[in-house]
Amino acid sequence: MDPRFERYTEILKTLCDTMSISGNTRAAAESLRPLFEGRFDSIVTDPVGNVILTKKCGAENAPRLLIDAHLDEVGMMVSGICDGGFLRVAAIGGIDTRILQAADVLVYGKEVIRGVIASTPPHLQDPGDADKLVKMKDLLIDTGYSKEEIETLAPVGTPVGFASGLRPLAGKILSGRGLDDKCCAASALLALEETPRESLAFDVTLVLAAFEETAYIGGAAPAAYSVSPDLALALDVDFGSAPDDGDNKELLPLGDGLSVTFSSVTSRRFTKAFIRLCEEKKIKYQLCVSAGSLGTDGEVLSVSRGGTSCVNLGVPLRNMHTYTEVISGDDALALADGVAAVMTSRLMAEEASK
Amino acid sequence: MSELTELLRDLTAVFGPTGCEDLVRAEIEKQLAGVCDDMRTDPLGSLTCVVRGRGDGYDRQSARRLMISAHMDEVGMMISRIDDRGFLYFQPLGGIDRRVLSGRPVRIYGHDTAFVNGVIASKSIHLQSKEEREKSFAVKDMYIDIGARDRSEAESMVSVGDFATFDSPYYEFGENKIKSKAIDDRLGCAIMILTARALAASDAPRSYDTYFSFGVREEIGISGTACTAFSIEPDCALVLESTAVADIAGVPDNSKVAIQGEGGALSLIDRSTVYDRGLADHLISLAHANGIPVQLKRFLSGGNDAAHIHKSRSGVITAALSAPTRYIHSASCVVDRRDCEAMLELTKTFALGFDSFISGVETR
Repeated sequence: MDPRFERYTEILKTLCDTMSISGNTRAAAESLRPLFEGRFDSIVTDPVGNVILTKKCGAENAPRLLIDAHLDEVGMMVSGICDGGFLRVAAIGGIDTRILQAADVLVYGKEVIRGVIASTPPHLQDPGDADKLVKMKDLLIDTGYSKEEIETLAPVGTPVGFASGLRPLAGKILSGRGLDDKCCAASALLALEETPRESLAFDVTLVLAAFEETAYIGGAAPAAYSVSPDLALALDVDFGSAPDDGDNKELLPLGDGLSVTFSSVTSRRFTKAFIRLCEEKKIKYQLCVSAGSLGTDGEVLSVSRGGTSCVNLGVPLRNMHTYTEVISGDDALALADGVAAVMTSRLMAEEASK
Repeated sequence: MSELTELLRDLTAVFGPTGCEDLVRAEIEKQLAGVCDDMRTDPLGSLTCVVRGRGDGYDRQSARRLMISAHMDEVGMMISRIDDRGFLYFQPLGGIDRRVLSGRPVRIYGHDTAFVNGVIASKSIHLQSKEEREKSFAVKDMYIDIGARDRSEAESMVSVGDFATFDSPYYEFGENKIKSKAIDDRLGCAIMILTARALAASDAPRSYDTYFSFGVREEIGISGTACTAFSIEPDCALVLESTAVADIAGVPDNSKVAIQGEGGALSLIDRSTVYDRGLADHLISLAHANGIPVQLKRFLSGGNDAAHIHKSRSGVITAALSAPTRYIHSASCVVDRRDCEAMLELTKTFALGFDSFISGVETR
């Protein structure tokens, strides 16, 4: 097995095994400390839960590069407790209810307990019911405890997440929960791990952002304010092409490399400079367009302070916001290469300093 | 864990969708090594094991026959097409609600007996049209993603016709609950294995032969157990099964079917069988006399192999005892450990003391 892919998978597994539903990134940062310790000059969690990791290059007045990958993932929260120890939940982030019935969950209460999301038994269904999707408010989670016990173990407000881990498919294809956006976070962490301080052309700050999945809140903004970068890279997953694309011909195939977004929100100058870097270093990339918006932290980073040049990168991902998201390890390693190329580029650093 | 739950954990892990029960049968044969007087596999793959009577009063020629039955197969899928991009289309094996398919991890039994990991895809919510967001996908539009680059890579690992199941491990949760795939009907198989061992170990005289029928193809209804019943010619049969219950919050009492924690559910009537009242009453009395929890299935729903057995040849006195099972035919069936143990106790008690029932009954 490719040792670099093995290391990437190790980092990704550590991130995936940690629950980081929006609102819980501070606690996640604590569990992830061993992953960060010894690799960064400073490790800070800000008041909204962004994890801010800085690695300086050692030069005076070096330009600052901010790399953003969001740490938060979609999930649920206990909103009510019923007889028989069944829980009612509300969604945090965009969750498709079609994946929920009979799914395994973990309830992060006083202890982590297992549960199963109930599904409608056949004898209670009317004809045509199988066509309809159940609504979040009608779902129940079976915990196997009595109402009194579960009220103490998992009161209203307790986070509930999907219980699935990282699972290999064919070749370097990986499947799991939270790959949006942990697969990009892992690429950035790998790039930082592999790049010695002396090679850095920027002071690099990796922001593992809070509240991206609850996009209307945009948690990365305070981190961008604190770092005040000269250049920002927003890393987030793109839509992978699959048989159910329908009329949409603009989705990206897995395995064709990291994705680079053309948009009116990003810096065209730096995006083109990044593409030239990929060509020079023979890093596999593919282009996509998101004209009037990005749907990523890039939107928030670009309007930070007096304005920030931003480049939006990522990898294609299938089955977004399910517990079996699918990515290509080759694409993720290409993204790590792309990020490393920017961090070590004197040309980019000069451009950013202007 | 108890002897029963350990066996259940091991059996539910085995790959055995309808039509591909060989691996389950091999495991059961292993578990019954040295226990039965005879074990045979029929042309469809069903396994029948006999524990004969013993002592004075046992005559092989005229011995009456008790048949205890459970099925080895679980719900699953069969690969029906591989597309140019290496995605796999499938048809379901057994009645799986399409609402518990999207996004699930699955395992395919591919080339050279290797298992291949896959996921049933689920289109990203952001890409769905308004209509798509309101409806479940049809199974014909669903596909399995194994991460193959293209058709050629996919075909190097799997073929059209290959079998698949949910990939869903056993675990215990809450105070008494068990979750796994295939509890329907590996629980029945586990109870039969332990009952066979108990019979074989008992020296007490008994005049009857006990046939344990581990059936195939139950989930599709064209069941192998119909043939096993024909071959065995039993005087009496007990079917061990799982039954779908809705004892969850918000369901009115009369729609719950049965309550977890109150014991195995005995059927009086379902969609394909009217059960023998005398046998049902006997099982209830036996349970009460021995302090074993038992309840009646309180909704006219479902069906099982009793449908085939009770009308076999000139008819068989039949009962069905089922574990109240939540979320049946999904990756996450949930049963109550107490019900499993109660079913085992009642089955063993009934099988060991069958003479007390059958001596008073005319069958041939």
